[in-house]
Amino acid sequence: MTVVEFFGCTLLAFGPPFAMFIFTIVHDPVRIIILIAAAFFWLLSLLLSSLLWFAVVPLRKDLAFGLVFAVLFQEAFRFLIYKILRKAEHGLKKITDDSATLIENKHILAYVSGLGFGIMSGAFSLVNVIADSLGPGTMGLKSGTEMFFLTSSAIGLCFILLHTFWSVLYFNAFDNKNKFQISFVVVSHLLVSCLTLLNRYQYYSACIVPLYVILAVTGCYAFKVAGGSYASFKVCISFK
Amino acid sequence: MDLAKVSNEKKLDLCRWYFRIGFALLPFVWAVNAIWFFNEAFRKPEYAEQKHIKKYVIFSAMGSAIWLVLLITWVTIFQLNRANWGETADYISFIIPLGTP
Amino acid sequence: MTDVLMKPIMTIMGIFIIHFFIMLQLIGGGNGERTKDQMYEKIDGSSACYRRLNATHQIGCSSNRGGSTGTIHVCDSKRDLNFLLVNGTAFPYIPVLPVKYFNVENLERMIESKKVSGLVLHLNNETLKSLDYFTHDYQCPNPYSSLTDTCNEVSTWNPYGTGLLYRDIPFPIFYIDSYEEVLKMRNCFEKFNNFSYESQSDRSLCSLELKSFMYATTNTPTCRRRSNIITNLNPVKFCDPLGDSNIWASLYPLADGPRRNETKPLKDYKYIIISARLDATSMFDKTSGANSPVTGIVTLLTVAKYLKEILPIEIVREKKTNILFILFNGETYDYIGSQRMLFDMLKGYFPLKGAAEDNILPVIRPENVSLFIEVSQLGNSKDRLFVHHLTKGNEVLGFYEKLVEYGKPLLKFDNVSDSLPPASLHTFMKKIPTFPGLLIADHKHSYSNHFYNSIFDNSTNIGFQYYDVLENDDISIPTDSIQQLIANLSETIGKSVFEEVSQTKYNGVERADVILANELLYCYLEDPNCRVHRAIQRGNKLPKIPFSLYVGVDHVTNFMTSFTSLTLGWLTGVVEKGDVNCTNKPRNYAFKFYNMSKSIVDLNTTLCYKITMNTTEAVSPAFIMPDYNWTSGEFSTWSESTWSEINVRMFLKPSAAHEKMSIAIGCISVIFSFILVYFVKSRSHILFTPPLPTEAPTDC
Repeated sequence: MTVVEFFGCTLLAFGPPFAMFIFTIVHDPVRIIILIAAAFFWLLSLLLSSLLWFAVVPLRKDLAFGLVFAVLFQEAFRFLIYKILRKAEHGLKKITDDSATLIENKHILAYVSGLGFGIMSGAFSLVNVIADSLGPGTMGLKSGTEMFFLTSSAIGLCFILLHTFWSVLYFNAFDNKNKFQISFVVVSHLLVSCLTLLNRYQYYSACIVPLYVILAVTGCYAFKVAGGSYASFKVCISFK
Repeated sequence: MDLAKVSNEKKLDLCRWYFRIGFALLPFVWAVNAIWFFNEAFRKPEYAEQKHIKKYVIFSAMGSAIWLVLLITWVTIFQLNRANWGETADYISFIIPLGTP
Repeated sequence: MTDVLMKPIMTIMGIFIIHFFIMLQLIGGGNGERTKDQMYEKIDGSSACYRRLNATHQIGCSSNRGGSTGTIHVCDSKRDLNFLLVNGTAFPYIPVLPVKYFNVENLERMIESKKVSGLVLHLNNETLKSLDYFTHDYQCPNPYSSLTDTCNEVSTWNPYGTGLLYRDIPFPIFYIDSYEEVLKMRNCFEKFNNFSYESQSDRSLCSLELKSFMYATTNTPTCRRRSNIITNLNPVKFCDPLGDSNIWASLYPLADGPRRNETKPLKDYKYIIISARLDATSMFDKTSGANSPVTGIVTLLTVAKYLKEILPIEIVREKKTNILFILFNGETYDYIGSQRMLFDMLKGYFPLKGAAEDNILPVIRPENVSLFIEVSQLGNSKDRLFVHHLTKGNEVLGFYEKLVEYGKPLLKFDNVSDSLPPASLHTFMKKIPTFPGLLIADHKHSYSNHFYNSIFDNSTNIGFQYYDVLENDDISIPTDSIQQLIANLSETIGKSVFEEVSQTKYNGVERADVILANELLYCYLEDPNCRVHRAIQRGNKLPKIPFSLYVGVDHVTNFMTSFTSLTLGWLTGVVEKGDVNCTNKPRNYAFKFYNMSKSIVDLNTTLCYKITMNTTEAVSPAFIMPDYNWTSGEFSTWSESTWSEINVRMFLKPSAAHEKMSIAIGCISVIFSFILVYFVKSRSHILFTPPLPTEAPTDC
């Protein structure tokens, strides 16, 4: 892709998470650490998935196999970081400046670690595409269309945001032992990931529309879980 | 170093030394001096050493500005004339660009 | 506090980076389907035009630093090209043009239009048939190093020459051989580009990237100087002098011996030199020089074998006249090889620097040369040949008469006095006007070869057809073939030289070896794995493409040079008696010992050959003289630019509209998200009602 396209795609995929990082994370060092730790856990899950993919030679060609296990590993590591954060709460309380909000509002920890998860997964899903495609050309010569890169970044963005919402749901679900929410997260994650398999057949709209619908649903659900409601939303936008 | 925690004599001493070191063809030190002590020289309430600090800051700023002008002039002249100067230009170059005259 | 936090952050970051790399390894290792492969189609089998320099100018082509890109436009006629240059909207373009339309007029129009960023030439079968000429050397080749007034209105040697080889062209040019690769481009062009031209700039277009970035610019002195600057932080070699090796061999040894590894030079000899040039060139990184130089080389080699058979060593010893065979390299580029040879001869460095003191070989100076016979292009003649010469000396005219006499009835020789086509002889006659030299060629006033120094000077151009025969029954090779012509000429030259040396008529019945000429032409024009090459060495199998005849740069030895030198050595060598294996024999400059096959018929019987052949450096004296005045024009100053990569790939260039849309979407995404996140953040206390202060489970 060309330089212009490169910047367009990068801004599309990483602009929103960057805004979230700037306004909600960067002022508190503890949040930065948690964000990076979460990203690190995502990497660990990827390492395990790739080892599995590497070890199971006969199924290497089948993307779907690797994909399902990658999703399961990610959710396992999300659980792991949940446990660790809950264990570390006491320690965090001692070092953070605004321990009050961070510890008392459980959703903040969930949101921060979810964003870390998302940024790393977004970076990984896009970095290969972007690094491989520097040069004067775009997609569409042999297969695909020129919308390939924009679609990829839109999907990348979708995953970053989804991971954030999933973490909020997931942490809350474990706090409240809500099995429905846990299964909602795992199932929607699996569903969304499987939808991206359609990209291979260039059904971009068949992938991206459901993806954003699921994103909206998950977003609303997470919003509600985090303490928002339609009423509060109305108050918020009418408040001048 | 946090200037707020340093005594006024020490500040003057520092500023003076930065100014002097700058003479060793180190315009960047002057630039640092001018920026670092700008607040001390012009924004702080008056104190005994401030007059001298002000002097050093102004001279440092002027010195680095002159350097900057000279460097920009030289770079411009050199870049415009590199190809014409031929041999001379090659001998004073550290990196010769590929594929350009 | 920040210090406390920095440590864990750094540690985590460290682990992070390590993991990142492991991951990249895992992903990179197994994934075969890469985005890049989907986007770019490599175009193989292309040969680029590259940059050369002399003392004052640069010639040839170079791409931009990262490669020159442009929209493909397949032009099948001049009309297509005109249309593109006048009406094209999606420039820069890279026209894909049949070679037929590659001429000065079209090239100049492309340069002037400023709409062209590169050029791809290809050959389609229709155009080759209708191609009457294709030569991009000057009309007067080597104009600055040849004798003045030898090329004029009467004798314009290369009348179809465009001189494009010596033009500085501002964009890269590639020549593509393969039909399939051209078809790929044509299909892509039809699919994406070849409709509704007004709106071309609004859609994605099939484009090419030509990468042939040349490091050197301006001229040879500049790039030599830049390559040698030691204060340079990153020492880069910008250019290399053109050059390789001249090959020489004497018919009989120039010295007695070796006895206990010492030789005794045979002094006070006269020498008859039989020479030819060894190189050709073309605009692209591909040569084929059937007419020039291969016909000359093959003739020289055939003469060598024939003379070895008919001229006994006793006569050579008695008359104190030896024969030297010399193949000059780099002659296309202002006579590099002969200039250096003459330079060495005048200094007393030929055949060996320090020959006089070391007493290994006799010193050969120009005044020791009694006759210089050069064999030039012969491919377009059936039986009529021309003897060009400038001197009125008796040696030359006498030799001409011998040629006429021995040529009967098969060959007719015409005397062309006061005429000399571009040849190594120019170098000698420029320094020594009385130098007794003549040149045998198939043309009188202009080359009959219309493809001089181009990629189409191939076996078709000289009508060569290989006959896979081993036995010497001449019936199988037609009498009007190029093989027969070369054999007849070799025989005539051989007999004339015999008489020149012995002063007596040749009365034998020995014939020149037409089978050898046949095989040698096959070696140079079609398959290097031919019988002769298998006879002289036991190397690996070579690819079945003819050797490059381009002289190349000084530090690389060409296959052409090494195989030809071995062949000449083999044909002039003496079989050592007794020894079958002689790899351990001592070698010095006077003699070499090689194991070679007995003949092309009997490849499996190896014998030990004592060989007089050797090579001398063919690098212009300008590059070895420390205080050479570059502007003097005395010697060849050609050098070749260095480069890092040469390749062509095809891709789809996104339209401007698409690019604008991408960046717009990106910017909107950023701006919108900044506003939204700020809004949510500033009102989060309203938006999210704080959770009820229930006791949060500490464990679950």
